[in-house]
Amino acid sequence: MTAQGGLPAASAGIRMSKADELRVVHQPLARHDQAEKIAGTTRYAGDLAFASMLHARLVRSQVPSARIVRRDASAAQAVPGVVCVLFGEDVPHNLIWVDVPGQTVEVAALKASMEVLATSRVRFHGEPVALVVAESEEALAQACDLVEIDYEELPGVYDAVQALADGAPAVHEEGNLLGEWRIDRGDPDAAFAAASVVVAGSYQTQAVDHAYLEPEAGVGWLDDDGVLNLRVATQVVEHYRDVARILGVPESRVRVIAPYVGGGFGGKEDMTVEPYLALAVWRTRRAVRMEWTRQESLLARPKRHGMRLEYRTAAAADGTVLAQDIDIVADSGAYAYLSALVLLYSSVHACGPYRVDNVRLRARCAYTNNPPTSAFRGFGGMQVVFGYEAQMDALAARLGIHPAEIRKRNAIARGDRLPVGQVIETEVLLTRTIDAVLERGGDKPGPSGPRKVTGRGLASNIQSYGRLVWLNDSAAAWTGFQLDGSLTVRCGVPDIGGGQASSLAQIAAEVLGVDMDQIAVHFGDSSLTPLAGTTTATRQLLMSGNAVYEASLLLRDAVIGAVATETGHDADGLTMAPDPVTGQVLVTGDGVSVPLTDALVICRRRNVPIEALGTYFGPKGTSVVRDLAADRVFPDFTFGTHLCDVEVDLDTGQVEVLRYIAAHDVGRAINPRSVAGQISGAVVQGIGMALLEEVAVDNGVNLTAGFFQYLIPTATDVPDVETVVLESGEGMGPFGARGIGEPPIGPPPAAVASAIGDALGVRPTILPITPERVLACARQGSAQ
Amino acid sequence: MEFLRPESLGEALAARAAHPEAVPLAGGTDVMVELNFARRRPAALLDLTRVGELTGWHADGGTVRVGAGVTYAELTGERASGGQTALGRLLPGLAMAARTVGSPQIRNRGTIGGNLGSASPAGDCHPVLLASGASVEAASVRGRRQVPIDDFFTGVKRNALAPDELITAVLVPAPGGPEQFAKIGTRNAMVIAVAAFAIVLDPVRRRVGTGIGSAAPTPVRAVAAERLLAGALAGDGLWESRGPLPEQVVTEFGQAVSAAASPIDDVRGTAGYRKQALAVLASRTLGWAWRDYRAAGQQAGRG
Repeated sequence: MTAQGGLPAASAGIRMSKADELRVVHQPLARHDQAEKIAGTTRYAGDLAFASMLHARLVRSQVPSARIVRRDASAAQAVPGVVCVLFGEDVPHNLIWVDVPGQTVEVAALKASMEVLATSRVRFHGEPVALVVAESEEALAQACDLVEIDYEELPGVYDAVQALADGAPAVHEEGNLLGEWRIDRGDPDAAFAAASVVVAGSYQTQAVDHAYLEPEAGVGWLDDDGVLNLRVATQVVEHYRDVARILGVPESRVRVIAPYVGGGFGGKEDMTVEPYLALAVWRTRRAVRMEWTRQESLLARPKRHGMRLEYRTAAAADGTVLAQDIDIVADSGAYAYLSALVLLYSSVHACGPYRVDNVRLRARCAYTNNPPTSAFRGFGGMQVVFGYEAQMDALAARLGIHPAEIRKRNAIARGDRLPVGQVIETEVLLTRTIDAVLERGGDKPGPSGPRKVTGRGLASNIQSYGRLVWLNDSAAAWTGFQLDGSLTVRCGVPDIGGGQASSLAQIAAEVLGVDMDQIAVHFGDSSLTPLAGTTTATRQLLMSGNAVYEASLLLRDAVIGAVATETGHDADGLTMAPDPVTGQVLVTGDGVSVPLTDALVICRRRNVPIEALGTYFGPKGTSVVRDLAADRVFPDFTFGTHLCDVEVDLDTGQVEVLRYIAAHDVGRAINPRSVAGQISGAVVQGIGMALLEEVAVDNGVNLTAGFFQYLIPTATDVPDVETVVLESGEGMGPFGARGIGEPPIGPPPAAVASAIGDALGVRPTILPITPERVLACARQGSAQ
Repeated sequence: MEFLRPESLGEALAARAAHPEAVPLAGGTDVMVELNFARRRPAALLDLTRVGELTGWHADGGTVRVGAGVTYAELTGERASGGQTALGRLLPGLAMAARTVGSPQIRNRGTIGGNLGSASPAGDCHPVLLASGASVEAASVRGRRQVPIDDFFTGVKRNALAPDELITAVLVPAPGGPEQFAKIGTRNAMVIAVAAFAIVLDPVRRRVGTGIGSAAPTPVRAVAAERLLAGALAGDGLWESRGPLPEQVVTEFGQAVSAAASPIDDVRGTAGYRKQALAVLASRTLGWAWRDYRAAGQQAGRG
């Protein structure tokens, strides 16, 4: 039995439960993995050792754009302890197909590929060229230095706009334009002509790194039956298919295990160590460990796209937005990865959470010889917040309307149509999130001393949750009772630190009446747990959550059905819930009261399975090619508003974030602690992007390949984040939940820029907002 | 790589003389980074962490002798121990600088001797040592000598030590007046300074001391700024009157400090910004130091 298109097929009664009727869900429970993580005993991907395990490391390109003219491994091979040095020719099928991974099909139009190990051409600083495998880390280090690779440097291009100009050096033979999307809706020209006011702005966002605590790592080995096992830090166990293709073996012979992951944020959505570990194991038939250093991670793993955003916005005198004219250019770096999809997200979200009937949008992404860019929390939907919210503030200032008021006047509501054509079907609490942060914020603080000024900023956003509907997404989960009444949950979801496994236990506990401590969740194993797809796109609560919900309902109905048959009662009159006094799970109703353990005996006597597989299929829709117009693009969206107070030092340009309040409608908080954690973490990451972080690249050479140079916020750089959680109860996830993993990353750069603009009278338009850029705004402000 | 681990200063100096190629290692907060990044492959490491003679400090007349192995955490120490005044109270300027170093873990490991040995233009102790006119005590099997801090920094990450010498201590004149240190980084902690500045006012000797960090190939003094301020303080009788500083003096002092710097553009900031930041740091630290001086006078008056 399966469910599809948002609402699970089984009873909607529990699904839409009011908050006060929930027993386990909606409780701020400590996650079951919390104690081990605090104690530092969680066994992450790299924390596994085999006797006589080998070690593997990549030799990476030192130059951003070159032809490879010679490769010589003889000196490296001669180092004692070196087992093998592999080049691209040693890879059975030397291509990584960068497809949309996970439980999806039919995305051929967006396929792109790159060599596993570059054979004749390198296109970015850090591109893998050779793989060295050795008995020890020491031998490995020595041998890597001795692999000789001669390059003939080629002209490169290091700016996306320049890459699209005539005569730019071609990064790939097919040209530098990797992807293009358009939206044409209504009559923008007429709307601009009729407008009372038009504001224009150009905005630049930068490449940033995921900077998770756990670097890319894993251990691979062959089982006795010849199945290749990879226990790796990943958001996607389904990459076993890509590994099988590279090795030329059946997909069933490769198994990927994702233990708890120390942060993903999209950086572990594409493959990292997987193909190299697999190659090393395949070649040596021995267990191999690979861990990228922080430098490798910062140097070469794909980043967030830097984007140039050009906006022209037309409005009526009352602030009603009449039209948007938007041009986006994104830097894809040297390889496609997921760039085309990231840009599609940018396009769909580019007008923000506002009604706009007339839209002209053109979005292009270009190849350059910069580090590649791909998935990162917010996935293109977050960069555009920096553009559209600046435009809203500019309109408000021009028309003399309060920034909150202009947002409320244009706020999307249920029944409104997004520029791409999708109608919003669920309740939208955007206006309430605006009111909530303003109420919580009180009065704007004054400056702490002379030569200091304060400002308050506001930013709202819209961010999808769940995958593009034409990817035919699905997730499966299995629930099974043990004979003692405890419960086992199996689900292929990778738990990347968001509490994914813990939330699934809460959902099962709610439906089946079982205590949390009676539940074990097995997750993230491509061979032994039902596949649930990627932990990306804010999709797991929607997808795995509904799958576990579905499996739990099926299991509950089966047990109740068996008891009903046994006792001669109507199943509709029976429920399964814990006794309020003893806590014992009972099947009760209609004068019947059967303990769960007895009910399970009844099931077995009557050949009723005490286990169930639930599969949830996401909402479906028709694929688009270049021109974006569709009745449905995403399952649904999450909305929110952030408020930020800053103090600016007029002499040094330093910015202190004094206060930060973030409000989102999460539909229903499955675990309020996890929700607050997602929002706080995203805000800190977003403030880092606003003020500090930048992957600095000089003619293709990455200058920020260490945490000395690549600065993420410390505890002294951010205030405590205040979260306001609103619950419309109208999300498409279980119990009416909306996804919250990505949405809160969108507003911070815009909110901080808005606050600085309020303080100085001139708004920064280039990220990160360094002290020098702040001083430039201050000078411009005082000159006005 | 050879790992030398002397147990005493005598052994350490002998090892240093026998292995001039060995890199001295104290807290390792600079050296280990260089090793881990493969920027450096020394033939030998000379571990100084077991050399007891390098630890501890004592005040002797007008000078505080700080062992080369004293950590940043000890420099910030607020609590007295063993009958000694807390080091952080004896040398408040150095304590301020030490407090801005890295993280608690780094402050527990890194030492003042190591800071000088690395001789980075961004070393946090250096501006204060320059401003206070300290000297570096160096020792070798040939004997001991004192190197005035003005002569110590000879180039980018280079110092005046002979190949057989080790830093044994830093001799800092006990402050006779207010000291201030400030730095600007691209974030608030765990960051290399974009610009740093220290000021020492010595009302007894009528002396102004300055030190600039991160804005020239070596840490430097702003000698012209010192003269300008000392002249203004003496000319207007401000040392005696403890009257308010004229705004113009504060501004000109900032400009003179800025003019003494010769910064570069790098990933942390442009030369232009560093100059601007230095002027601000100099003006502000002067304001704070003068405020402290005036407050001390009022306190003395009340007492």
